[in-house]
Amino acid sequence: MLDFDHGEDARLLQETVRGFAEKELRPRLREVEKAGAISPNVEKAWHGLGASVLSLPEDVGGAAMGESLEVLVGEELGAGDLGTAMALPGPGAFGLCVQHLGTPAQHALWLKEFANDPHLRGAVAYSEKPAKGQSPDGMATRATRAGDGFVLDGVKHPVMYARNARWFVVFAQVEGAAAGADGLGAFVVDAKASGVKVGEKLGTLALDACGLATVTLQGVRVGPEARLAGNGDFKAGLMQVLARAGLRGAARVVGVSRAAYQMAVSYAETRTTFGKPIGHHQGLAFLLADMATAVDSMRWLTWHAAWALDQKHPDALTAAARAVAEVAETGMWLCNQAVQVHGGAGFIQDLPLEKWMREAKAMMNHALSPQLADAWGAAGLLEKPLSSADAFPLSNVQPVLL
Amino acid sequence: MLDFSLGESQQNIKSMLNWLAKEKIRPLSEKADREHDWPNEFLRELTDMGVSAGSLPENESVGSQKDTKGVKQTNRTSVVAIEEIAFGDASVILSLPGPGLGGPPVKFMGTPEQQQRFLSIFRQKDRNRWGAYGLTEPGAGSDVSAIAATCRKDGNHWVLNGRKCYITNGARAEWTVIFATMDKTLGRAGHRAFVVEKGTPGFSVGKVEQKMGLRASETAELVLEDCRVHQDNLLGGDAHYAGKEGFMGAMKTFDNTRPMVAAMAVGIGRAALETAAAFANEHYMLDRPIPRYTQIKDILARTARKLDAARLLVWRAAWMADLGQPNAKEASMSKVYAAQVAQQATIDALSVVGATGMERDYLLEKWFRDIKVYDIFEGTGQVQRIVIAKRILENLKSF
Repeated sequence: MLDFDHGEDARLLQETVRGFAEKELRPRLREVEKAGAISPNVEKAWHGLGASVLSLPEDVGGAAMGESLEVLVGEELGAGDLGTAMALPGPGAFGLCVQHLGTPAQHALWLKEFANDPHLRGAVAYSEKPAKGQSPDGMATRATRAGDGFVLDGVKHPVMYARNARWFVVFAQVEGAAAGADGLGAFVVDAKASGVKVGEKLGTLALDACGLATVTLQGVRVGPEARLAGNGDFKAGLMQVLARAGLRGAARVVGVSRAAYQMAVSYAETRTTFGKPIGHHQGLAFLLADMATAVDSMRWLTWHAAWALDQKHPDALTAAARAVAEVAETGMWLCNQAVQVHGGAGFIQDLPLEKWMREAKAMMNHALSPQLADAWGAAGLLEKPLSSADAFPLSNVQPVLL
Repeated sequence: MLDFSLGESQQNIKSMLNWLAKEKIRPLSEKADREHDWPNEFLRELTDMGVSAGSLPENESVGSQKDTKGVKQTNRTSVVAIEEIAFGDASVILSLPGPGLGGPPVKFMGTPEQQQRFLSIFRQKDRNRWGAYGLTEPGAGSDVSAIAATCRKDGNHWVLNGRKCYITNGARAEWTVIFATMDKTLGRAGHRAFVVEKGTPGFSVGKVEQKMGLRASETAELVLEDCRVHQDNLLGGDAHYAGKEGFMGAMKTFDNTRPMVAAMAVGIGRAALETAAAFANEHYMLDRPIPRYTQIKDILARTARKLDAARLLVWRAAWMADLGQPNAKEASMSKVYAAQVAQQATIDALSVVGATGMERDYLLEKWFRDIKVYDIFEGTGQVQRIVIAKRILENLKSF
């Protein structure tokens, strides 16, 4: 039965996170961007809500909740500030990799501490720098067999949270496995392990507080317990990771779109030109109507995909792909229009709008690019199976943030 | 007869500026953006090479070459040149020494004496000099007729009060053309344009803005507090304001400058497209199908056709300006279209190259930040649509 209401408990969680975002994230958004970091107190306040371990399994201290609540929380965080929301500590995509590619024993190794440590982060080292002549099949980073373990060698770039992560999940081409995407493996590496070098923070368009850097691995030894083998279906597991990471990112983009839209509507009611509020000029009224419609359309796509994943619906991955692609493109358009509504003032850094526009662009490279998401969506629509090569981001051709 | 080829002199200018863009301008781009300024010596070097943004009579020497019908090609040549420099870095154009946007009002409204007095300083070679254009106010952007800066006659002087914002080169300009009103109730008929010189008591610089893009271009607030300006600095003198000319003087210049701004947008869009296409060629064009290559090809193809259309709209508006034909609609079309297409080009280019495109030294992310303002300044896209709509709907007098 169709029901667009989350229910009372979910609403309480939503209000709590909204309050946190309004009080702790929005007022500090420029400060966080400039410092490239969130203050420890804010990290503690976020952790204290209990929402960062929402969907971790109960046996590692999580709430075992589903994506439906994750996207509710994500939207409120994004509405406070997208850049800060993406920089908050917590399991993130690292946690998703361990959860969906790892065994319960591996969950215990790397997920337990998130419930207790407010500043803990993990990172996913997936992408590589495009280099001329490099094969786009699979990855340049290699996992060579050494006894019953592996030795990792390669350069990962860019890696989100690299500067603050305690652990990395490193994706690499496994020696002796199939060529290309079918031969990928994932390994948990301690950031302080011998042979791991984290570079300086990258200067980027946006997401300054996310600690992006290059991670170089030289002869990094890992034991067999470090390999996240995918529980018998690595491709399916990785697609779950990408779908969920993408969807949670999309939820944050819905949030920032809502915030940008609200700011635009407010401005349009007070700023006057030619004798009336600018929002009363039909051209702008129509634009604002389109923006309002866009926010809602983005939200329902995201909620529907989250519900589908929670229901283990057979079309859940297609739903997630559609949401991620649509939200990425629409969020970009909307944040651009929100700047536009404000005219010159939108271009100046006194307002957050230009920052949100930059962040919306950055999020188009998060987890699933619209091109990859549409490839999933087309495969779903046309009922064609997806090969690994078609299902995974091309790490060194169209790098993603994870 | 229909001809879309560039003339020889235009080709030569384009080649020269393309070399300049790639070899001289782009290597300095990231630093200029980060430090919010272009080195003075570099700007001097460009000026010495003949690259200038001004409207000084002698700078027309190249553009004043006539086409096969005997018509001067000033505007057509300008838009070709401007696209090429912007292909390197658009903020360079805004930072070039010269009267800048202040030039056209002095030229179109000023007396011969005023033109000589205010424009001759840019011929001096001892240091870089800028002019500026002070129209916009915190409460008057799109609605130019709502300007609130006041001017009051007091003997041989005028007393100016008010605040101007978002003025390019406002902090370093030798003079700024300031628009003020004698009487708000008179609407546009009450507007007057003054050349206010740097150092005039009561004339000061307020905030210098931190912007999303074009960071190497100076954008400043100007404050007028009982600023006394001599009658001789009233552009055009009293006679000029007998009719509607006061307001129209400000607006008329846009018909020439809007295609030039649009040309900058095309340059930025083309920079993004060419970078993305080169990336695709290097990393996607291999001897077997790469996943998502078709989508990438489609994105690039769509960007290319829209940029072509944008460029042609710019050329057409410039051609009409050269012929002396009223071109407000065409100028606005070129600007509204080019700004949006170029913005999308930067978005799409960043998609094609993926996450590494976000890095500052890649320049692509800078172009994404730079292009946004092109749908805002010199008339927002919304204002351009009003200009167009009023000319396509015969009975539409106002909204």
